[in-house]
Amino acid sequence: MHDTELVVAFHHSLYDLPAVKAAAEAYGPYCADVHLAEEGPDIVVTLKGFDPGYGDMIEDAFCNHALHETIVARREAALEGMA
Amino acid sequence: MSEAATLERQTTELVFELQQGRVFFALDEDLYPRDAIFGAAYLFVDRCWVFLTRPADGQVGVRLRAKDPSADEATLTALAGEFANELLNQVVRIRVAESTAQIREFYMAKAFFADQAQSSIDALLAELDAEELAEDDLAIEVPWEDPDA
Repeated sequence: MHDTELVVAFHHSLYDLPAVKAAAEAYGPYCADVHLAEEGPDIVVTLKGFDPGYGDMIEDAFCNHALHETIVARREAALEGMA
Repeated sequence: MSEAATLERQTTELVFELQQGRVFFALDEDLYPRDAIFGAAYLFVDRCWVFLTRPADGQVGVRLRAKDPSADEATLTALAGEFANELLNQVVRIRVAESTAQIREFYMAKAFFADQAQSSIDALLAELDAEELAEDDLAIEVPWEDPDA
């Protein structure tokens, strides 16, 4: 197991919890542990034990995934609201 | 630089910071609605890594990093500029959509619920039926196998 750790805070007003959870599920296989916690206005994600060879990319890719899921979910919700 | 000059600079151009292969800038939500920021971000997630933060109330921080690891400062600057352009495009789209929402709803309602549409189709069909199709001076209706028919 690698001794790596990454903590990312996603602001609730910009990221939805289910979207961040979806990203955590998607990136779970690449880490020894993924932990989510709601701390004040943030959803704090801690990724542990990932391959250090991933470098910054795992953080960037995780954030992209969470953002994409959030935008898609919000657009769907907006469309449902219009219907 | 004086405070007024700084403020003027911030309101007339996008101020961004380059750090460790990333470009960061803060957007005022009064100027750029969140939906516009999401719209621009959605178009950029294919091209670069996007992360949004909340540096202060009413502000959204945008952090971009090119997917190409060899991207230099010029590339990042261009990326920020393109994002800003797209942001403006999204803002205009949202404002036009808002300002024309009522008229779109009116036309949709008219198209779906007004009887005139149906009656106009009926009138067209009636007009077609009423045409003098029996007259065939050019003998178009005569089958070519049977010219004497």
